[in-house]
Amino acid sequence: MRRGYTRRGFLAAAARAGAAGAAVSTLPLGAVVPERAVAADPILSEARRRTLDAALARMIPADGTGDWSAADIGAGDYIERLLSGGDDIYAGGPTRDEFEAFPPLSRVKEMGWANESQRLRGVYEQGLDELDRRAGGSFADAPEPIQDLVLTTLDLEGSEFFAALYEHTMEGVYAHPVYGGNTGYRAWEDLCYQGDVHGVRYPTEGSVGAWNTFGGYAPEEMIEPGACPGQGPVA
Amino acid sequence: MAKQTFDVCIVGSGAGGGVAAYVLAKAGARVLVLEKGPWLTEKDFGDDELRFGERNLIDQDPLIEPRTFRDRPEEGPHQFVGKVLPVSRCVGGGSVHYGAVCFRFRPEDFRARSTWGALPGADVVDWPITYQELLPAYREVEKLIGVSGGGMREEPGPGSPDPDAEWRTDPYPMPGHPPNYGAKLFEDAARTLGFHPFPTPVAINNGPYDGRPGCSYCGFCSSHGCPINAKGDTRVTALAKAVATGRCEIRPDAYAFRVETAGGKAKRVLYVDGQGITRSAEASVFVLACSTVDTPRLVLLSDMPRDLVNHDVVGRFLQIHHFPGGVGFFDERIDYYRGFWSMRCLDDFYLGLPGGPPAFGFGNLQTIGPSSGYPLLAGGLISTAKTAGWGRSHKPFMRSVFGHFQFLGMIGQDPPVRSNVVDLDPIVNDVYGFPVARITYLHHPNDLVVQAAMMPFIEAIFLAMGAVSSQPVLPFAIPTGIPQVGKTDAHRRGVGRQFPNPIGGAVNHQLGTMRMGMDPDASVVDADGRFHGIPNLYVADGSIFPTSGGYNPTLTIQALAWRIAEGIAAAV
Repeated sequence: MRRGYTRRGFLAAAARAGAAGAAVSTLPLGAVVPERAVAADPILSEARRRTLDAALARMIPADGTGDWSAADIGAGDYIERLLSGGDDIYAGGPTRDEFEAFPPLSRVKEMGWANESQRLRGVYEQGLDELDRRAGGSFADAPEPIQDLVLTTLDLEGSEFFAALYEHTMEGVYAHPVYGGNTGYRAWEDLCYQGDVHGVRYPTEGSVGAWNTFGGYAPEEMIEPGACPGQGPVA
Repeated sequence: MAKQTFDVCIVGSGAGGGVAAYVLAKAGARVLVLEKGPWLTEKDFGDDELRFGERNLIDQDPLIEPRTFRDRPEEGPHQFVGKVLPVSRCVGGGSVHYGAVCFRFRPEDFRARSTWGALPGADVVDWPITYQELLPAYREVEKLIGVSGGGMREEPGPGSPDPDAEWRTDPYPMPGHPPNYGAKLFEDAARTLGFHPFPTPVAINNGPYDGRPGCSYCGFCSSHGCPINAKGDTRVTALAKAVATGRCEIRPDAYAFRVETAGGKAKRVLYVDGQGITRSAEASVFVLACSTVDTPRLVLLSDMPRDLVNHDVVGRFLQIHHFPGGVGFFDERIDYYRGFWSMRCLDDFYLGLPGGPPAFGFGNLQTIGPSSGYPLLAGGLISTAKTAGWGRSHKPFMRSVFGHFQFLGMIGQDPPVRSNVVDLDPIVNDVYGFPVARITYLHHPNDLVVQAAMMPFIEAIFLAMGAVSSQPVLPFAIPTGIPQVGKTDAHRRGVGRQFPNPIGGAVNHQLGTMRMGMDPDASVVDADGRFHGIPNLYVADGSIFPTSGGYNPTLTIQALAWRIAEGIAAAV
């Protein structure tokens, strides 16, 4: 749920504050809060979402059968949520069980993110259409080598869309699942990475010494090398 | 509503402003603190790279207040708009995100010119105060924020510094922390090579201290707000105690944009509050503590009279520690994200190469944690992964590298250069409608000299640590606060991204710009932090450093703020 900070609400609040407080002037100094259009419909059309998932499956492809690609572990959902202009930008805290409680954005953050999600929506819509165009009509239906060729070309051209796609693929894959991607912590599991530890590693045991009231890494543990079975050594 | 009156108004609630607020409130002054960012708590934090690294919960947020960068004026108005030298924008300021490394500067740092001599193209100077003059403030601040260092708990004389390794003699409030695996390898290797490693002193609790818990070594430390308040940021130390006196009010979301003067004195500060309303704060004394970038920006936005303020120096001599360093790769998992930013360090190079004459530009060599404090996102491994290729090469890269490397970095002292400047960008405004800060910064050649001199030593240490290979940080493309345009493809990664520093790793230490000195023609503030021409206007942040030292600067910022605030308290 978002708060719905409208321009009318802002001006009313400004007028109230101006009447009651020691305001020098009512001044939005060019600081107009844009309406945040939160689409009730899916952010991307079904066709664009199909193109996006096809691209994500090439940005980080599955490494053989049974392995996951970026599309498989929710990077597409992550991106659609980012484009939605919703309020769920910063997770709650301090521990995982509170992450879902996204606090509302401050006024200036709301202004910044409203502009940013709108900008990104335009970047994605144009970029995804460009993928289809360059793939000869349908990027999703093109063979993998063609898909890779199209993406590589955009990368080398310095495309703004590709830059966003790379960044958001990585965020969707490697950020905490509370943001919509990294489904089932699959990406972290792959790297034998614990990710968030507070309230997670020792959630029920309470205090296990001064170092571990909340569950981090014990001194006797962090002084030893880690382990990741099946992971190859550095080439 | 009765109009509130304040003795002192402090702009900025970070390391400097927070400590100044505490000292003044404790001394009986009524203190108002204006902070442009929100008042967050540990409930807003969490072990979460995305909110801190990518979405700038506390960092300078280019969606709100971008900054611009150019490496020299010949490049035009600017080369980059986005995140430049980010410092936290919240109650507690930079002390919330910092790695909490807390050294005192050395006696030599206060007489930099006398110690290292002149450097062509730079203006290396002695400070107007000595180490001995700052020593009492250092001691008070170390107790206030809770610094751990010296011998470990189980060793004889816990908290006592090793006399061979460090120049200071008095013990730390808490003993040194145990090392993580990479730091242990470093410690053993450095000893083998004849160096003198020791636990990095940090404002991170080693066991419970002052009502706050001991560190849990979670790794989400530098660049993050501490989710358990084990890090001694000013929000949970100085500011909490200041508010507890009943004489300190903190106003968050209060964006100061103008200091007004009349009759040769500062009269009021104008700010925009959280609802977008412009308000005024009046007091007898004003302290600017907005950081090295934002304090000169506020002075420039205020267009202060030229007969009162030395505009010839405001914004100049910006210093950003260069960060010569390397990365070593290991067959085994180092998993350096366990613990905190820096767990072991050594000072054998502090004054120059061992056995050589004093040489400017070196500093403390440290093990450092995940790049920028992020194991994966932001400046973490994915920024490097791109250079290794996306697509089919991505997963093999991540699987072979993640957890298998360790950084070493030196807090290299960069020279104060007159043409390295913070001023106002002529084109870009922030969401409040004011010109943003523009950073013009070019590395002095000495930075490259030091990097070249250090690499053989860093390689030797990595070799003794058992690394299979090592390389300078340079090709490792870590985003940093020192942007250099066009050196890699990072400029394509969109608004809000930082540029890699071609010399070293990620460091946002920013100093200078409001130089402290005896001579009103060559400095902005005097040895008490007071503007030469305005008797009731002070600066208490990193901007007053005449030189940058070779240590993380925050403890010295806080000690200076302590000393400056004591001077104000005596006068009010």
